[in-house]
Amino acid sequence: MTEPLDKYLDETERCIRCGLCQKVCPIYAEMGSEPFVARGKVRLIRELIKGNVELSPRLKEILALCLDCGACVANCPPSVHTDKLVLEARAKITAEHGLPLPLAGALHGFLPNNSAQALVTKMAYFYQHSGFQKLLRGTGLLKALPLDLDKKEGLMPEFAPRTFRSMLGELPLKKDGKIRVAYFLSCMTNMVKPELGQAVIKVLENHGCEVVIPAGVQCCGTPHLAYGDTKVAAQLAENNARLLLETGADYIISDCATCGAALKKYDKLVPGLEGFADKVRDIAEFLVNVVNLRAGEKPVDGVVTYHEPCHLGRGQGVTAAPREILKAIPGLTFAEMEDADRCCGGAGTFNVMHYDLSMKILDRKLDSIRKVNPQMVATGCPACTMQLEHGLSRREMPISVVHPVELLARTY
Amino acid sequence: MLNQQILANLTKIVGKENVFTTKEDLICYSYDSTPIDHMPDVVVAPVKTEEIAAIMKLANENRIPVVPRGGGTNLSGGSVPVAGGIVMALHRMNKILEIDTDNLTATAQPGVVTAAFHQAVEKEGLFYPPDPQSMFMSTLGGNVAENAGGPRGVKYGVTKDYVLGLEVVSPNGEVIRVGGKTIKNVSGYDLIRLFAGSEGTLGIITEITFRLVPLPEAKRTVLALFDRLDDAARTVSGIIKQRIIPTTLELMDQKTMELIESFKPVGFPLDAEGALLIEVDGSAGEVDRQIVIVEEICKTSGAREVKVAADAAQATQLWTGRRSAFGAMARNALQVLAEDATVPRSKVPDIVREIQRIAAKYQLTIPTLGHTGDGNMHPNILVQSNDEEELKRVDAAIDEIFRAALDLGGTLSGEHGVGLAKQKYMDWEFNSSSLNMMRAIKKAVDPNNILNPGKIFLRGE
Ligand SMILES: Cc1cc2nc3c(=O)[nH]c(=O)nc-3n(C[C@H](O)[C@H](O)[C@H](O)COP(=O)(O)OP(=O)(O)OC[C@H]3O[C@@H](n4cnc5c(N)ncnc54)[C@H](O)[C@@H]3O)c2cc1C
Ligand code: SF4
Ligand code: SF4
Repeated sequence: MTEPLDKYLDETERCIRCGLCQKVCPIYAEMGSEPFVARGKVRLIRELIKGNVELSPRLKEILALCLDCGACVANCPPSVHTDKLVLEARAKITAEHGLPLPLAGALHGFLPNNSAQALVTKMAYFYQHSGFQKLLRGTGLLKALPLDLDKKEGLMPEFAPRTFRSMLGELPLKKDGKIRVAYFLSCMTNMVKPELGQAVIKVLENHGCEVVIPAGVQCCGTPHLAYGDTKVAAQLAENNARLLLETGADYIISDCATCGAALKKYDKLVPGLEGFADKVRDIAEFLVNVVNLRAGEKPVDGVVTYHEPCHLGRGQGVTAAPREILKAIPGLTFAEMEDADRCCGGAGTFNVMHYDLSMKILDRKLDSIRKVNPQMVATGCPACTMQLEHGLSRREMPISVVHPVELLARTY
Repeated sequence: MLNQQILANLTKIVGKENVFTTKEDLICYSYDSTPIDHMPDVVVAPVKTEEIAAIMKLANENRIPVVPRGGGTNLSGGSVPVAGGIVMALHRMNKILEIDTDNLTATAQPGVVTAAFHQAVEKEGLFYPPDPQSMFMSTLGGNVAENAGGPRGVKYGVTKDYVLGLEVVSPNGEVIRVGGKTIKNVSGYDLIRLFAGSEGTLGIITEITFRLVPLPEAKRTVLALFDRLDDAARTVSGIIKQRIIPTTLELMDQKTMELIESFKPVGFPLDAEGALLIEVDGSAGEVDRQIVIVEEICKTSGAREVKVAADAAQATQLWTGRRSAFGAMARNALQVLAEDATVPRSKVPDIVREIQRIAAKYQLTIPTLGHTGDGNMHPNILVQSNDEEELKRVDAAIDEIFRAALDLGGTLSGEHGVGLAKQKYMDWEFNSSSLNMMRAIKKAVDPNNILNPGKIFLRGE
């Protein structure tokens, strides 16, 4: 009994089988069958630890269908950490059977490698803007590719012409400020939304902060954890934490719900990082709770609703701050949607690996959005942004997706 | 294990993707909300009545046990396949077939989740009152099979009071239809009543027609706090005696409130021995009239404070507190045994006293709450360890609680059913002639005893 998973036996036995997780699990809502709800997964992981089931193809299939959204945990009377259990069980699968091949390439080669990201960004930009994309879509060539790429290709974000990282040298960062903050550059801001990076800097500087951006940070490690690659995740965490701490900043800021949640858990992944998590704040949390939120005077017109990212609401307990930002913006009308905290089905690469299921989950979100009839959906997670943008265009709903901080930046 | 021929036939009936035989799938259908478990041999997920009829024929010819299953949230071991065989998972039969706004009825398949049904009919301005607190997980089929109730039972009754018609597949695979959309119906035996609460032993319910009522125009909530639990319990009968039937009349004891406050605080006091949470509904004028009377009765019965919720938000908050009671208890114990002994309403003070006495005698924590307006108590026994000595005390306490309820003219189960969990008490409540009649009915309907064998009075059968 030295397996890392074994120490979670007690956690699995805390499940009292009440079934309350059925109410909230988005996967269960679509599948309806017991293996796919938290209660079933917890039971299977218990039997796995006890040696009554093996890492069979069926078990892998079941464990793959979890969004790591944490809704079950939040609704579970004894707070059984199903999300954590699933990730640990996936870690066991990866340790014993390795990663599925195409993923191994992405997780080992692409995401941790900054120059590879730059290259892929350029290629993607070329691909999207050269007409080549239309050609591929038109000829049905994509259909011939595995993983029904023809449908999923729409999930690929519009890559930026240049990564944010490559612009860092040219940014006129202010050199003084009351508070020194280190801004953690997320993969998505870097590759897809450099304008978000610019908005974050503008807003922080407007709140009297000196922003430093360590260019060498890499992927936060979440994708690796999601697929059970704990080793690489820990290496990334160690490197990122070192670079962020070296800045001597008072706070470490993230504009990505997922990265922020990961950073806040670095101390559990790497020994010797005690106290690191205390410095980490989501940008909205920081603006509202640390520096006194102050919006500018330029109005932003329209109705906005808010989609709460799993990794920000349940993951970090940040629920009020982003809404307060939206309410503080002059001219803007904030309207809460039903089930704002329900997962959009993006969940990292879940939408690529399980496209049809992910779209069903997304459809429920789009229905909630439609009822509010907004011009904009604000959300604090680039992965949710991609997923929502894909769904909105799929259903031809003319609604844009923005980060609350981008709207705030427009007021100065 | 079932032989290959039978599996092949099942596959022919429901399709390959709806027959599950991996150990992983079987494990997931081996349990319900009790600690009891047993592995089935196969899980099938049919989508229509004809498939179910074919499965039952096959099972009957081959003497294979079949256990229907909805949300798997029952608290009596009802959906555990103790004799192996087939678990019939009904989650694919989840359509609401019709909401008839002329006749105020709705027809649905058994796998519809109770809360989804509530929402759908309320959209039409209609109301389906039964509200088991598991409504977000339980299914309509499971509700009928357990004859589920809930807080609104005081005024509105329980599931069986709303079933007008049923389609049921019998153990030998025949499709039976009883009742329909008429409010009155006295043709033949009342089989609807027989199927309601039959715990999956007499037939597979495949379609249900419910009677609905108009959605009440208004509702208001009152929280009354008592220094003495006994006063709170006496108030329950006091209110009923005044010919006021609130929508809900829920009692909570001090321990329950303490646990709720430490879990999801909603502002219940920690120093009151008991509280009543009362809701009245009806037309706006009627609600205002009733709430004043309720307030008055509480005060004259010794309430130290009566708070009327100012608005819907405040009321929701109080009810959220009440609904989190089970969770609050679950966090504080290894196991919560939620019992549902029920007594005539006038005996509520007596059973409350008895439960307190029994808890003290066996040194157990038994926070008690209940849908007391209908005499339905929920003493929740918090089991702290797997220690044999403690489990013995728990068993003895449960025995004594049931004995007390029966002595007060009550019953073993108000709403959770007998299943496996309460079998040993059946001959405390019924004499052998009564049990023999139940056996005779079961034998006539299911001669080969294939449908949910071993449950209710069929201990070990
Ligand atoms: C937290 C919690 C709170 C609860 N609160 C209440 C409450 O307030 N009131 C209350 O009454 N109960 C309550 N229950 C108990 C439970 O939810 C009810 O018994 C409910 O009716 C079970 O429905 P289900 O769909 O989960 O049925 P299951 O548990 O799947 O099955 C229950 C029984 O019905 C049979 N069955 C299921 N579907 C069919 C069908 N289509 N045809 C024939 N037989 C069938 C099964 O064989 C089994 O015997 C609670 C349970 C929990 C866990
Ligand atoms: S809500 Fe929690 S305790 Fe209840 S069944 Fe789900 S995982 Fe188990
Ligand atoms: S984390 Fe989300 S998807 Fe996974 S079991 Fe829990 S509720 Fe379901």
